[in-house]
Amino acid sequence: MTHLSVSNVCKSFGSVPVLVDQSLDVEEGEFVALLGPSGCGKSTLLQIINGLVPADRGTILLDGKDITGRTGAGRGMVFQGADLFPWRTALENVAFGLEVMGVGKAERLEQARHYLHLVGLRGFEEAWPHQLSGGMQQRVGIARAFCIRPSLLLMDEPFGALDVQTRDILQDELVRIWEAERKMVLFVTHGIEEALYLADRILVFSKRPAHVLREIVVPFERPRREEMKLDSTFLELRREISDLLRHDIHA
Amino acid sequence: MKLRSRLTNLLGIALMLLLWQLAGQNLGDALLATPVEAARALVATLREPGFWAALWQMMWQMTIGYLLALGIGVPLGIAMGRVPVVDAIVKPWASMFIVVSAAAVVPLFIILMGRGLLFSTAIVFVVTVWYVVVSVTEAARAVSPKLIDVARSFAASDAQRFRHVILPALHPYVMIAARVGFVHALRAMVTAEMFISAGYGGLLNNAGLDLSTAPLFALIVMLMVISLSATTLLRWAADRAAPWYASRTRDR
Ligand SMILES: Nc1ncnc2c1ncn2[C@@H]1O[C@H](COP(=O)(O)OP(=O)(O)OP(=O)(O)O)[C@@H](O)[C@H]1O
Ligand SMILES: [Mg+2]
Repeated sequence: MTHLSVSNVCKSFGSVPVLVDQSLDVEEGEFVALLGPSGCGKSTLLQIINGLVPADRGTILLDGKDITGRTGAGRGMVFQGADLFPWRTALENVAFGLEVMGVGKAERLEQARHYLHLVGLRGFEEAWPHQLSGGMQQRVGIARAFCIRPSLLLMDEPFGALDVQTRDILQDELVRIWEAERKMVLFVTHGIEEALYLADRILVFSKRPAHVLREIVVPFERPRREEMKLDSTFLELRREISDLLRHDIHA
Repeated sequence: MKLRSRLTNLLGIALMLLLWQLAGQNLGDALLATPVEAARALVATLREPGFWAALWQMMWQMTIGYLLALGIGVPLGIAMGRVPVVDAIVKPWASMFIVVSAAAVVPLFIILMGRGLLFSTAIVFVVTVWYVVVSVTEAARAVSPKLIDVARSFAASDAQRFRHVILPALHPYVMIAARVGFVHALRAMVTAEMFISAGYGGLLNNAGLDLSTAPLFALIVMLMVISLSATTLLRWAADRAAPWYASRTRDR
Protein backbone atom coordinates (compact mmCIF):
# COMPACT_ATOMS: atom_id res chain seq x y z
CA MET A 1 0.00 0.00 0.00
CA THR A 2 1.63 3.22 -1.11
CA HIS A 3 0.96 6.49 0.55
CA LEU A 4 2.46 9.95 0.71
CA SER A 5 2.16 11.92 3.87
CA VAL A 6 3.48 15.46 4.15
CA SER A 7 3.16 16.91 7.63
CA ASN A 8 3.74 20.39 9.00
CA VAL A 9 6.25 21.50 6.40
CA CYS A 10 7.54 25.04 6.92
CA LYS A 11 9.80 26.96 4.62
CA SER A 12 11.00 30.56 4.48
CA PHE A 13 13.36 32.19 2.08
CA GLY A 14 15.13 34.78 4.21
CA SER A 15 12.39 36.46 6.17
CA VAL A 16 9.69 35.58 3.65
CA PRO A 17 7.54 32.66 4.80
CA VAL A 18 6.50 30.61 1.78
CA LEU A 19 5.07 27.50 3.39
CA VAL A 20 3.61 27.50 6.89
CA ASP A 21 2.64 24.20 8.49
CA GLN A 22 1.70 22.66 5.19
CA SER A 23 0.27 19.14 5.32
CA LEU A 24 -1.19 16.91 2.67
CA ASP A 25 -1.82 13.24 2.01
CA VAL A 26 -1.99 11.30 -1.22
CA GLU A 27 -3.51 7.83 -1.33
CA GLU A 28 -2.42 4.93 -3.47
CA GLY A 29 -3.08 5.51 -7.15
CA GLU A 30 -4.41 9.00 -6.57
CA PHE A 31 -3.89 11.88 -8.99
CA VAL A 32 -3.76 15.18 -7.11
CA ALA A 33 -3.54 18.56 -8.83
CA LEU A 34 -2.18 21.65 -7.10
CA LEU A 35 -3.62 24.95 -8.24
CA GLY A 36 -2.70 28.37 -6.95
CA PRO A 37 -1.58 31.87 -7.81
CA SER A 38 1.89 32.45 -9.17
CA GLY A 39 4.56 32.66 -6.49
CA CYS A 40 2.48 31.02 -3.76
CA GLY A 41 4.96 28.21 -3.18
CA LYS A 42 3.75 25.25 -5.26
CA SER A 43 7.12 24.58 -6.87
CA THR A 44 8.79 24.97 -3.50
CA LEU A 45 6.48 22.38 -1.99
CA LEU A 46 7.13 19.97 -4.84
CA GLN A 47 10.88 20.43 -4.56
CA ILE A 48 10.77 19.83 -0.83
CA ILE A 49 8.89 16.59 -1.44
CA ASN A 50 11.41 15.75 -4.14
CA GLY A 51 14.25 16.46 -1.73
CA LEU A 52 15.88 19.14 -3.89
CA VAL A 53 15.09 21.90 -1.40
CA PRO A 54 15.44 21.38 2.35
CA ALA A 55 12.44 22.19 4.52
CA ASP A 56 12.89 24.26 7.66
CA ARG A 57 10.60 21.93 9.55
CA GLY A 58 8.22 19.06 8.94
CA THR A 59 8.43 15.50 7.68
CA ILE A 60 7.68 13.67 4.47
CA LEU A 61 6.76 10.01 4.64
CA LEU A 62 6.58 7.86 1.52
CA ASP A 63 5.21 4.36 2.04
CA GLY A 64 5.94 4.79 5.73
CA LYS A 65 9.60 5.69 5.20
CA ASP A 66 10.95 9.06 6.26
CA ILE A 67 12.43 10.61 3.13
CA THR A 68 12.68 14.20 4.34
CA GLY A 69 15.59 15.99 2.72
CA ARG A 70 16.61 13.03 0.55
CA THR A 71 16.24 12.68 -3.20
CA GLY A 72 15.50 9.55 -5.18
CA ALA A 73 13.77 6.68 -3.35
CA GLY A 74 10.53 6.12 -5.22
CA ARG A 75 10.00 9.57 -6.65
CA GLY A 76 10.15 10.58 -10.30
CA MET A 77 10.15 14.23 -11.31
CA VAL A 78 9.01 15.74 -14.60
CA PHE A 79 10.43 19.22 -15.06
CA GLN A 80 8.69 22.12 -16.74
CA GLY A 81 11.14 22.57 -19.58
CA ALA A 82 11.74 18.80 -19.91
CA ASP A 83 15.39 19.60 -19.09
CA LEU A 84 16.86 16.71 -21.02
CA PHE A 85 20.59 16.12 -21.08
CA PRO A 86 21.68 17.44 -24.49
CA TRP A 87 24.58 14.97 -24.67
CA ARG A 88 22.35 11.94 -24.32
CA THR A 89 20.11 10.51 -27.00
CA ALA A 90 16.39 10.26 -26.24
CA LEU A 91 16.87 6.64 -25.20
CA GLU A 92 19.86 7.38 -22.98
CA ASN A 93 17.94 10.22 -21.35
CA VAL A 94 15.13 7.86 -20.43
CA ALA A 95 17.65 5.35 -19.08
CA PHE A 96 19.39 7.94 -16.91
CA GLY A 97 17.65 7.10 -13.63
CA LEU A 98 18.36 3.39 -14.01
CA GLU A 99 21.99 4.10 -14.86
CA VAL A 100 22.34 6.10 -11.65
CA MET A 101 20.84 3.17 -9.78
CA GLY A 102 23.49 0.90 -11.24
CA VAL A 103 21.26 -1.13 -13.59
CA GLY A 104 23.28 -2.82 -16.33
CA LYS A 105 23.34 -1.35 -19.81
CA ALA A 106 21.33 -3.94 -21.72
CA GLU A 107 18.67 -4.07 -19.04
CA ARG A 108 18.27 -0.32 -18.66
CA LEU A 109 18.15 0.33 -22.40
CA GLU A 110 15.47 -2.30 -22.80
CA GLN A 111 13.39 -0.70 -20.06
CA ALA A 112 13.99 2.74 -21.53
CA ARG A 113 12.92 1.56 -24.96
CA HIS A 114 9.68 0.27 -23.48
CA TYR A 115 8.84 3.64 -21.93
CA LEU A 116 9.96 5.60 -24.97
CA HIS A 117 7.56 3.54 -27.07
CA LEU A 118 4.87 4.02 -24.46
CA VAL A 119 5.04 7.81 -24.91
CA GLY A 120 4.80 7.34 -28.67
CA LEU A 121 8.41 7.97 -29.66
CA ARG A 122 9.20 4.75 -31.44
CA GLY A 123 11.92 5.47 -33.98
CA PHE A 124 13.38 8.40 -32.05
CA GLU A 125 15.65 6.34 -29.80
CA GLU A 126 18.83 7.78 -31.25
CA ALA A 127 17.63 11.36 -31.69
CA TRP A 128 19.41 14.14 -29.82
CA PRO A 129 17.15 16.34 -27.69
CA HIS A 130 17.71 19.37 -29.91
CA GLN A 131 16.29 17.41 -32.81
CA LEU A 132 12.97 16.93 -30.98
CA SER A 133 10.08 19.38 -30.73
CA GLY A 134 9.08 20.80 -27.36
CA GLY A 135 6.23 18.32 -27.06
CA MET A 136 8.46 15.39 -27.95
CA GLN A 137 11.06 16.53 -25.43
CA GLN A 138 8.39 16.61 -22.75
CA ARG A 139 7.36 13.07 -23.69
CA VAL A 140 10.96 11.98 -23.16
CA GLY A 141 10.90 13.79 -19.81
CA ILE A 142 7.78 11.86 -18.81
CA ALA A 143 9.28 8.56 -19.97
CA ARG A 144 12.43 9.36 -17.99
CA ALA A 145 10.41 9.78 -14.81
CA PHE A 146 8.31 6.63 -15.42
CA CYS A 147 11.35 4.51 -16.24
CA ILE A 148 12.49 4.28 -12.63
CA ARG A 149 9.00 2.99 -11.70
CA PRO A 150 8.46 5.52 -8.94
CA SER A 151 5.55 5.15 -6.58
CA LEU A 152 5.15 8.93 -6.64
CA LEU A 153 5.31 11.10 -9.72
CA LEU A 154 5.98 14.82 -9.27
CA MET A 155 5.10 17.11 -12.15
CA ASP A 156 5.69 20.87 -12.04
CA GLU A 157 3.69 22.50 -14.83
CA PRO A 158 4.91 19.85 -17.26
CA PHE A 159 2.83 21.20 -20.13
CA GLY A 160 3.10 24.88 -19.23
CA ALA A 161 5.48 25.69 -22.06
CA LEU A 162 3.51 23.90 -24.78
CA ASP A 163 0.88 25.14 -27.19
CA VAL A 164 -2.76 24.29 -26.55
CA GLN A 165 -3.09 21.46 -29.09
CA THR A 166 0.09 19.72 -27.98
CA ARG A 167 -0.97 20.14 -24.38
CA ASP A 168 -4.34 18.47 -25.06
CA ILE A 169 -2.64 15.56 -26.76
CA LEU A 170 -0.10 15.12 -24.00
CA GLN A 171 -2.79 15.27 -21.32
CA ASP A 172 -4.54 12.34 -22.96
CA GLU A 173 -1.23 10.50 -23.31
CA LEU A 174 -0.44 11.07 -19.66
CA VAL A 175 -3.83 9.77 -18.58
CA ARG A 176 -3.42 6.72 -20.79
CA ILE A 177 0.03 5.87 -19.43
CA TRP A 178 -1.02 6.60 -15.90
CA GLU A 179 -4.09 4.39 -16.17
CA ALA A 180 -1.87 1.53 -17.29
CA GLU A 181 0.53 2.15 -14.40
CA ARG A 182 -1.38 3.80 -11.59
CA LYS A 183 0.87 5.66 -9.23
CA MET A 184 0.48 8.66 -6.99
CA VAL A 185 0.78 11.91 -8.88
CA LEU A 186 1.28 15.45 -7.64
CA PHE A 187 0.64 17.72 -10.58
CA VAL A 188 1.22 21.48 -10.36
CA THR A 189 -0.65 23.53 -12.94
CA HIS A 190 -2.15 26.91 -13.69
CA GLY A 191 -4.80 25.34 -15.88
CA ILE A 192 -8.12 24.87 -14.08
CA GLU A 193 -9.45 22.77 -16.95
CA GLU A 194 -6.30 20.71 -16.98
CA ALA A 195 -6.63 20.05 -13.26
CA LEU A 196 -10.31 19.06 -13.59
CA TYR A 197 -9.61 16.88 -16.58
CA LEU A 198 -6.69 14.98 -15.05
CA ALA A 199 -7.07 14.86 -11.30
CA ASP A 200 -9.04 12.88 -8.75
CA ARG A 201 -8.61 15.67 -6.27
CA ILE A 202 -7.65 19.33 -6.56
CA LEU A 203 -5.99 21.40 -3.86
CA VAL A 204 -6.52 25.11 -4.41
CA PHE A 205 -3.83 27.15 -2.70
CA SER A 206 -3.99 30.72 -1.46
CA LYS A 207 -1.39 33.33 -2.22
CA ARG A 208 1.84 33.31 -0.22
CA PRO A 209 2.25 31.91 2.42
CA ALA A 210 0.34 29.09 0.83
CA HIS A 211 -2.45 27.28 2.58
CA VAL A 212 -5.19 25.15 1.10
CA LEU A 213 -8.22 27.31 0.34
CA ARG A 214 -10.38 24.47 -0.82
CA GLU A 215 -10.12 20.80 -1.51
CA ILE A 216 -12.21 19.60 -4.42
CA VAL A 217 -12.92 15.95 -5.13
CA VAL A 218 -13.42 15.70 -8.87
CA PRO A 219 -16.64 13.75 -9.43
CA PHE A 220 -16.00 12.54 -13.00
CA GLU A 221 -15.57 8.91 -13.89
CA ARG A 222 -12.57 7.42 -15.57
CA PRO A 223 -11.64 7.01 -18.32
CA ARG A 224 -12.05 10.72 -18.86
CA ARG A 225 -13.28 12.01 -22.22
CA GLU A 226 -12.91 15.23 -24.08
CA GLU A 227 -16.73 15.73 -23.98
CA MET A 228 -16.73 16.14 -20.22
CA LYS A 229 -15.26 19.59 -20.70
CA LEU A 230 -18.72 20.65 -21.89
CA ASP A 231 -20.54 18.99 -18.99
CA SER A 232 -22.46 21.45 -16.79
CA THR A 233 -20.81 20.17 -13.56
CA PHE A 234 -17.43 20.68 -15.18
CA LEU A 235 -18.25 24.24 -16.16
CA GLU A 236 -19.66 24.96 -12.73
CA LEU A 237 -16.56 23.66 -10.95
CA ARG A 238 -14.37 25.60 -13.32
CA ARG A 239 -16.23 28.81 -12.52
CA GLU A 240 -16.10 28.08 -8.81
CA ILE A 241 -12.33 27.55 -8.75
CA SER A 242 -11.76 30.56 -10.94
CA ASP A 243 -13.80 32.74 -8.55
CA LEU A 244 -11.98 31.30 -5.60
CA LEU A 245 -8.59 32.21 -7.01
CA ARG A 246 -9.67 35.65 -8.15
CA HIS A 247 -11.26 36.40 -4.82
CA ASP A 248 -8.13 35.34 -2.92
CA ILE A 249 -5.85 37.56 -4.96
CA HIS A 250 -7.94 40.63 -4.23
CA ALA A 251 -8.53 39.70 -0.60
CA MET B 1 24.99 26.54 -49.20
CA LYS B 2 28.18 24.93 -47.94
CA LEU B 3 29.66 24.88 -51.43
CA ARG B 4 28.84 28.51 -51.84
CA SER B 5 30.59 29.56 -48.64
CA ARG B 6 33.61 27.51 -49.72
CA LEU B 7 33.64 29.32 -53.05
CA THR B 8 33.41 32.67 -51.30
CA ASN B 9 36.38 31.65 -49.15
CA LEU B 10 38.43 30.70 -52.19
CA LEU B 11 37.50 33.92 -53.91
CA GLY B 12 38.68 35.91 -50.90
CA ILE B 13 42.00 34.09 -50.86
CA ALA B 14 42.51 34.54 -54.59
CA LEU B 15 41.77 38.24 -54.29
CA MET B 16 44.25 38.64 -51.46
CA LEU B 17 46.98 36.76 -53.37
CA LEU B 18 46.38 39.00 -56.36
CA LEU B 19 46.72 42.17 -54.27
CA TRP B 20 49.84 40.75 -52.65
CA GLN B 21 51.32 39.93 -56.06
CA LEU B 22 50.66 43.45 -57.36
CA ALA B 23 52.06 45.11 -54.23
CA GLY B 24 55.10 42.81 -54.29
CA GLN B 25 55.86 43.63 -57.90
CA ASN B 26 55.84 47.32 -57.08
CA LEU B 27 57.85 47.20 -53.86
CA GLY B 28 60.47 44.62 -54.82
CA ASP B 29 61.39 41.44 -52.97
CA ALA B 30 63.62 43.14 -50.38
CA LEU B 31 60.48 44.72 -48.92
CA LEU B 32 57.69 42.42 -50.00
CA ALA B 33 58.32 39.27 -51.96
CA THR B 34 55.48 38.25 -54.25
CA PRO B 35 53.51 35.05 -53.57
CA VAL B 36 55.16 33.43 -56.56
CA GLU B 37 58.61 34.11 -55.11
CA ALA B 38 57.45 32.98 -51.67
CA ALA B 39 56.15 29.74 -53.15
CA ARG B 40 59.48 29.11 -54.85
CA ALA B 41 61.31 29.81 -51.58
CA LEU B 42 58.90 27.46 -49.81
CA VAL B 43 59.77 24.62 -52.15
CA ALA B 44 63.47 25.30 -51.60
CA THR B 45 63.00 25.40 -47.82
CA LEU B 46 61.10 22.13 -47.76
CA ARG B 47 64.07 20.47 -49.52
CA GLU B 48 66.49 21.49 -46.72
CA PRO B 49 67.07 18.82 -44.07
CA GLY B 50 67.80 21.58 -41.53
CA PHE B 51 64.24 22.80 -41.89
CA TRP B 52 62.72 19.47 -40.95
CA ALA B 53 65.05 19.07 -37.99
CA ALA B 54 64.11 22.53 -36.74
CA LEU B 55 60.42 21.89 -37.28
CA TRP B 56 60.60 18.58 -35.44
CA GLN B 57 62.47 20.12 -32.51
CA MET B 58 59.95 22.91 -32.21
CA MET B 59 56.95 20.59 -32.42
CA TRP B 60 57.96 18.05 -29.83
CA GLN B 61 59.19 20.59 -27.31
CA MET B 62 56.04 22.61 -27.77
CA THR B 63 53.86 19.54 -27.44
CA ILE B 64 55.30 18.73 -24.02
CA GLY B 65 54.50 22.21 -22.71
CA TYR B 66 51.09 22.18 -24.38
CA LEU B 67 50.05 18.80 -22.98
CA LEU B 68 51.24 19.83 -19.52
CA ALA B 69 49.19 23.01 -19.80
CA LEU B 70 46.08 21.02 -20.73
CA GLY B 71 46.74 18.32 -18.15
CA ILE B 72 47.00 20.86 -15.35
CA GLY B 73 44.84 23.65 -16.73
CA VAL B 74 41.69 21.61 -17.37
CA PRO B 75 41.37 20.02 -13.89
CA LEU B 76 42.37 23.28 -12.24
CA GLY B 77 39.80 25.18 -14.30
CA ILE B 78 37.06 22.71 -13.41
CA ALA B 79 37.99 22.94 -9.73
CA MET B 80 37.94 26.74 -9.88
CA GLY B 81 34.58 26.78 -11.63
CA ARG B 82 32.94 24.38 -9.17
CA VAL B 83 34.70 25.00 -5.84
CA PRO B 84 34.66 28.61 -4.58
CA VAL B 85 37.67 28.13 -2.27
CA VAL B 86 39.91 27.01 -5.11
CA ASP B 87 38.69 29.91 -7.18
CA ALA B 88 39.43 32.39 -4.41
CA ILE B 89 42.99 31.10 -4.07
CA VAL B 90 43.94 30.76 -7.73
CA LYS B 91 41.92 33.53 -9.39
CA PRO B 92 44.27 36.45 -8.51
CA TRP B 93 47.25 34.56 -9.96
CA ALA B 94 45.34 33.56 -13.05
CA SER B 95 44.23 37.09 -13.81
CA MET B 96 47.76 38.42 -13.26
CA PHE B 97 49.57 35.82 -15.34
CA ILE B 98 47.14 35.71 -18.21
CA VAL B 99 48.22 39.16 -19.38
CA VAL B 100 51.92 38.21 -19.41
CA SER B 101 53.10 37.48 -22.93
CA ALA B 102 55.89 35.10 -23.84
CA ALA B 103 58.23 37.92 -24.84
CA ALA B 104 57.94 39.49 -21.40
CA VAL B 105 59.02 36.43 -19.46
CA VAL B 106 61.64 34.99 -21.82
CA PRO B 107 64.62 36.97 -20.45
CA LEU B 108 63.79 35.97 -16.89
CA PHE B 109 63.29 32.33 -17.84
CA ILE B 110 66.64 32.26 -19.66
CA ILE B 111 68.35 33.44 -16.50
CA LEU B 112 66.49 30.89 -14.42
CA MET B 113 66.56 27.87 -16.70
CA GLY B 114 69.13 28.32 -19.39
CA ARG B 115 68.26 27.63 -23.01
CA GLY B 116 67.35 23.98 -23.05
CA LEU B 117 64.20 21.89 -23.12
CA LEU B 118 63.14 23.09 -19.67
CA PHE B 119 63.18 26.68 -20.85
CA SER B 120 61.03 26.23 -23.95
CA THR B 121 58.47 23.92 -22.36
CA ALA B 122 58.21 26.26 -19.40
CA ILE B 123 57.51 29.24 -21.66
CA VAL B 124 54.86 27.31 -23.58
CA PHE B 125 53.35 26.09 -20.34
CA VAL B 126 53.02 29.44 -18.57
CA VAL B 127 51.61 31.17 -21.61
CA THR B 128 49.06 28.44 -22.39
CA VAL B 129 47.99 27.19 -18.99
CA TRP B 130 46.31 30.38 -17.81
CA TYR B 131 44.34 30.72 -20.96
CA VAL B 132 43.10 27.13 -20.53
CA VAL B 133 42.39 27.68 -16.83
CA VAL B 134 40.36 30.83 -17.37
CA SER B 135 38.25 29.49 -20.22
CA VAL B 136 37.55 26.15 -18.53
CA THR B 137 36.66 27.97 -15.29
CA GLU B 138 34.07 30.04 -17.11
CA ALA B 139 32.59 26.94 -18.73
CA ALA B 140 32.54 24.99 -15.46
CA ARG B 141 30.79 27.81 -13.67
CA ALA B 142 28.15 27.98 -16.40
CA VAL B 143 27.11 24.30 -16.23
CA SER B 144 23.33 24.39 -16.06
CA PRO B 145 22.21 24.21 -12.42
CA LYS B 146 18.90 22.85 -13.67
CA LEU B 147 20.52 19.81 -15.23
CA ILE B 148 22.45 19.25 -12.03
CA ASP B 149 19.11 19.37 -10.19
CA VAL B 150 17.69 16.81 -12.60
CA ALA B 151 20.56 14.48 -11.79
CA ARG B 152 20.10 15.18 -8.10
CA SER B 153 16.39 14.39 -8.28
CA PHE B 154 17.35 10.97 -9.63
CA ALA B 155 19.54 10.58 -6.54
CA ALA B 156 22.83 10.86 -8.43
CA SER B 157 25.79 11.04 -6.04
CA ASP B 158 28.44 13.78 -6.24
CA ALA B 159 30.65 11.52 -8.32
CA GLN B 160 27.77 10.60 -10.63
CA ARG B 161 26.80 14.23 -11.13
CA PHE B 162 30.41 15.00 -12.01
CA ARG B 163 30.65 12.09 -14.39
CA HIS B 164 27.22 12.38 -16.01
CA VAL B 165 26.55 16.12 -16.00
CA ILE B 166 29.59 18.29 -15.41
CA LEU B 167 32.07 16.41 -17.58
CA PRO B 168 29.84 16.01 -20.64
CA ALA B 169 28.65 19.61 -20.32
CA LEU B 170 32.26 20.79 -20.30
CA HIS B 171 33.44 18.56 -23.09
CA PRO B 172 32.91 20.96 -26.02
CA TYR B 173 34.43 23.85 -24.13
CA VAL B 174 37.49 21.86 -23.18
CA MET B 175 37.94 21.00 -26.83
CA ILE B 176 37.67 24.67 -27.78
CA ALA B 177 40.20 25.57 -25.10
CA ALA B 178 42.51 22.87 -26.49
CA ARG B 179 42.17 24.33 -29.97
CA VAL B 180 42.80 27.95 -29.07
CA GLY B 181 45.41 26.85 -26.52
CA PHE B 182 47.35 25.18 -29.29
CA VAL B 183 47.64 28.45 -31.15
CA HIS B 184 48.83 30.21 -27.99
CA ALA B 185 51.37 27.44 -27.39
CA LEU B 186 52.73 27.58 -30.92
CA ARG B 187 53.10 31.33 -30.79
CA ALA B 188 54.89 31.19 -27.43
CA MET B 189 57.22 28.48 -28.70
CA VAL B 190 58.23 30.49 -31.77
CA THR B 191 58.83 33.59 -29.67
CA ALA B 192 60.99 31.65 -27.24
CA GLU B 193 63.04 30.09 -30.03
CA MET B 194 63.56 33.44 -31.69
CA PHE B 195 65.02 34.82 -28.47
CA ILE B 196 67.56 32.02 -28.19
CA SER B 197 67.96 31.68 -31.96
CA ALA B 198 67.33 27.96 -31.94
CA GLY B 199 65.13 25.61 -33.93
CA TYR B 200 62.39 27.10 -36.07
CA GLY B 201 62.68 30.47 -34.37
CA GLY B 202 66.35 30.48 -35.33
CA LEU B 203 65.41 29.82 -38.97
CA LEU B 204 63.02 32.76 -38.81
CA ASN B 205 65.79 34.97 -37.40
CA ASN B 206 68.16 33.97 -40.19
CA ALA B 207 65.55 34.44 -42.85
CA GLY B 208 64.93 37.93 -41.47
CA LEU B 209 68.54 38.81 -42.28
CA ASP B 210 68.21 37.58 -45.85
CA LEU B 211 68.18 40.12 -48.66
CA SER B 212 64.91 38.77 -49.97
CA THR B 213 61.77 38.47 -47.83
CA ALA B 214 60.68 35.37 -49.75
CA PRO B 215 62.25 32.73 -47.41
CA LEU B 216 60.73 34.50 -44.40
CA PHE B 217 57.30 34.37 -45.98
CA ALA B 218 57.83 30.70 -46.75
CA LEU B 219 58.51 29.97 -43.07
CA ILE B 220 55.50 32.01 -41.94
CA VAL B 221 53.25 30.21 -44.39
CA MET B 222 54.46 26.88 -43.00
CA LEU B 223 53.58 28.04 -39.47
CA MET B 224 50.09 28.90 -40.65
CA VAL B 225 49.75 25.51 -42.30
CA ILE B 226 50.79 23.75 -39.09
CA SER B 227 48.41 25.78 -36.96
CA LEU B 228 45.52 25.27 -39.37
CA SER B 229 46.05 21.54 -39.70
CA ALA B 230 46.34 21.08 -35.96
CA THR B 231 43.18 23.04 -35.21
CA THR B 232 41.32 21.20 -37.98
CA LEU B 233 42.46 17.89 -36.53
CA LEU B 234 41.40 18.94 -33.04
CA ARG B 235 38.03 20.08 -34.31
CA TRP B 236 37.52 16.78 -36.06
CA ALA B 237 38.45 14.91 -32.88
CA ALA B 238 36.03 17.06 -30.88
CA ASP B 239 33.20 16.37 -33.29
CA ARG B 240 33.88 12.66 -33.11
CA ALA B 241 33.94 12.70 -29.32
CA ALA B 242 30.86 14.89 -28.84
CA PRO B 243 28.51 14.10 -31.74
CA TRP B 244 25.60 15.80 -29.96
CA TYR B 245 27.43 19.10 -29.93
CA ALA B 246 28.63 18.72 -33.50
CA SER B 247 25.11 17.94 -34.65
CA ARG B 248 23.62 20.82 -32.70
CA THR B 249 26.05 23.39 -34.04
CA ARG B 250 25.85 22.03 -37.57
CA ASP B 251 22.06 22.01 -37.72
CA ARG B 252 21.93 25.65 -36.84
N1 LIG C 1 15.74 29.95 -4.04
C1 LIG C 1 14.90 30.93 -3.63
N2 LIG C 1 15.38 31.99 -2.96
C2 LIG C 1 14.57 32.97 -2.53
N3 LIG C 1 13.25 32.98 -2.74
C3 LIG C 1 12.71 31.96 -3.41
C4 LIG C 1 13.50 30.88 -3.89
N4 LIG C 1 12.68 30.02 -4.54
C5 LIG C 1 11.44 30.52 -4.44
N5 LIG C 1 11.44 31.69 -3.78
C6 LIG C 1 10.27 32.49 -3.47
O1 LIG C 1 9.31 31.64 -2.91
C7 LIG C 1 8.02 31.97 -3.40
C8 LIG C 1 7.34 30.75 -3.96
O2 LIG C 1 8.02 30.33 -5.12
P1 LIG C 1 7.54 29.09 -5.97
O3 LIG C 1 8.47 28.94 -7.10
O4 LIG C 1 7.35 27.93 -5.08
O5 LIG C 1 6.12 29.59 -6.49
P2 LIG C 1 5.09 28.85 -7.43
O6 LIG C 1 3.84 28.68 -6.65
O7 LIG C 1 5.69 27.64 -8.01
O8 LIG C 1 4.85 29.93 -8.54
P3 LIG C 1 4.58 29.74 -10.10
O9 LIG C 1 3.17 29.30 -10.22
O10 LIG C 1 4.79 31.07 -10.68
O11 LIG C 1 5.57 28.72 -10.59
C9 LIG C 1 8.20 33.09 -4.40
O12 LIG C 1 7.82 34.28 -3.80
C10 LIG C 1 9.66 33.08 -4.70
O13 LIG C 1 10.11 34.40 -4.91
MG1 LIG D 1 6.37 27.10 -9.96
